Amino acid sequence: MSLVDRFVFVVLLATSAAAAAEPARDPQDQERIAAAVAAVVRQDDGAKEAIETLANSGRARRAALLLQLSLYLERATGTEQAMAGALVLNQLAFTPAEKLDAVEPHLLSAGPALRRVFTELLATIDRPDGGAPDFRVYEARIRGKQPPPAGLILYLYEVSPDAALASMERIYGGEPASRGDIEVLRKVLPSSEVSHDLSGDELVWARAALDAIALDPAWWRRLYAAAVLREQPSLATPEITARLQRDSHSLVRQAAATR
Amino acid sequence: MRPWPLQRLFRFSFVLLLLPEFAAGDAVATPGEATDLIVTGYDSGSGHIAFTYVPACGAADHHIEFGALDGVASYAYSGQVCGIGTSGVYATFDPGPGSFFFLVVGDDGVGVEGSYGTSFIGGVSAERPQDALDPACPRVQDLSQRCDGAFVPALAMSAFRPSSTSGAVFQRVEIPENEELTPGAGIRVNGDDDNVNGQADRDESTVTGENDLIEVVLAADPQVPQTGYEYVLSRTSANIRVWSAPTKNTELLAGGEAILNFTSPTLTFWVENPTGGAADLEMAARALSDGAIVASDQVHFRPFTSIVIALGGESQVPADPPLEPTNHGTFQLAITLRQKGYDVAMYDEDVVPASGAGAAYNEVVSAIQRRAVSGVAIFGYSHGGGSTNDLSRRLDTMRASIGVFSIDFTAYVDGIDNDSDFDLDPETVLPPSTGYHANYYQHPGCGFLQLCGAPVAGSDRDVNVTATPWGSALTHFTIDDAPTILQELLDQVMTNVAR
Repeated sequence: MSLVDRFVFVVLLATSAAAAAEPARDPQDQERIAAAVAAVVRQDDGAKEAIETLANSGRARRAALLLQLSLYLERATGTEQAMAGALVLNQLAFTPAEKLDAVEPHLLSAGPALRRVFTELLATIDRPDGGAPDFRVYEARIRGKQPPPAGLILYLYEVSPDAALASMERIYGGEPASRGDIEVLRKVLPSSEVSHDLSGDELVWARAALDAIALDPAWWRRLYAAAVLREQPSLATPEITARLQRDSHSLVRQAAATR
Repeated sequence: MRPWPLQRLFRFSFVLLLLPEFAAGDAVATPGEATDLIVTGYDSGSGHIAFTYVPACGAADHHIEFGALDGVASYAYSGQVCGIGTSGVYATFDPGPGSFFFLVVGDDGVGVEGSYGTSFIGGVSAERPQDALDPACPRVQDLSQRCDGAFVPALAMSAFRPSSTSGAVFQRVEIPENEELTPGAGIRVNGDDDNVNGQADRDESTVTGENDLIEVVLAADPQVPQTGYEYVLSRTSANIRVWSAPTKNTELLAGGEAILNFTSPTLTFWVENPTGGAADLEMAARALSDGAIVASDQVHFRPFTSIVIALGGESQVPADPPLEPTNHGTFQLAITLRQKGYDVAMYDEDVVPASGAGAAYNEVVSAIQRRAVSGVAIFGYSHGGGSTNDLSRRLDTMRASIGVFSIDFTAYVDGIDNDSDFDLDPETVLPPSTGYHANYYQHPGCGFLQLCGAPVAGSDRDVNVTATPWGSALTHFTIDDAPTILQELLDQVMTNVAR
């Protein structure tokens, strides 16, 4: 999925979250964060003190402080605020659990810019050194929740449909009814760097596989089909798209509706 | 009896003048030179001088210029007789008592006059000076388009830099006149598929979203050529095609040339390069009788062989002009390179994820596979430096499936690894297979809350600016705007990357 597609996906996910409101900004937190960032940009002696003040203010409310920092970064303009903000974040040394606690409840309600900050925060958990994501860190949290944490699951599929599906199979178990079709998709799609570069045969095979996966009894596999469709719009047919948009599971419908 | 000057002094000619811009079809010539002035009589009773002359072409009227005979050497005009008509005969000229010289000048009956004829002035044949005082007939001389002179229209063909592809939108910029032939106008080979319909754009006659054609604007003065001449547009080979719209539409030079009819002061066309190769586009004025070219202007079109990718720092939004002119050095450099004739795309570095895939990667692949590009240059600042490595790495990894190309140039300006927006590690990896890598970084100790770049082993130019006299005060937030770095990067690209 290209970043542009991902951005649209995020925008529409946020839209689909309907009237859910973004978290509120705490003026005092925002002021302290802005002061710390400005001091870092200036590289002056006040930076250390500003960071300590900020850390102390959030000592008993780390997730809340991280949320406020995310809200600040959402509106960062320029490399100065963005990178100095990253230095502040790094200095505050949030744990993966603190990051998840701050982000996960707001993933669905966040607007595009805030969701971008959230996804980059989660990337520091599941892709600390770049490369392929490792979503196992989230599996315990997902496994223990009913209904499934929609925002987090959609995030996983947004970042990597394959890695997300692998996690879902580990969490919910079962043999994929459409394993063969999934393999077909995985073989065909990596050979194409640009979505409309698929050859005629590849397009036929991929659409047939996608059609089968979209009929799988497991919602997380149908969600996979919807996510792949977003990555490769050329695979779409009116039938597949319509079926996914009418899916019985809300997550599948949400993913399909974002086309 | 009044003394008379030499008769040959009174032989003059007219010139047609063409006004700079007219509505289509307007007459454009201005008077030429009245000639063969001959005194035919003098009435001592009335003091009237009679003379004949050959009227000037393009004249709606004539007037007499005269002055005291002792002022003839300096053309000291002292009087005028207006409105003597166009018959070529005048019998009532009376300058008064004394000795005089005079001549007849054609005019348009309103405010423009033609030639006063030529004479040896300072040893060379030159136009006689005009009467600048105009005591009776206010006329302004205009010899630029005289109807009896050689037809030398002013022709101008302007070409523009290419429009943007997938990156930020660049401003419309005209190619300087002195670059129209060398190096010429860069143009993309139009083998891509801007309307995403599965067909190469070069094979279609209308392409919605087409962005690879080069705009050219033609102007001619006079707008309508003199009788016996025509304006023509031609190409030196079929390597270029000329269309009526940026989305192609109607082809103009299918037969190799087209007669131009300026229905407005300028004509605008779009040039396509379907399959590569260079060619010239020429606009000319030529004689109908023998095809002789009397004026022309030309633009050389050369296909781009490279693409330059510029990646800004975190949260820097690419734009032309830059949103922060003194704080977005990466984009300033990108804009300069485009003005130097490179095909440039500038992006927010976030279009390049850690995998290197995405819009910038797709643009490069499209350029290589569909636009005959073989050279790639990538540079970036801060996280854009990290993204430069990510993009280079993916291009190198996918080389076999992409095609033949080389990464001719890469550069980091205080490069920071870009595994996420919050990555703070310096980028220290040399982009794989780069032909030339420049690395500029600041490293003032990198203590508490300091963001630093780092050396990159294998760089062709690896500069710790903190250790230089000109860069010792630079920080991560100012290094991308350092004039020395921007100039060096510009020079390095121009040395290492063919346009």
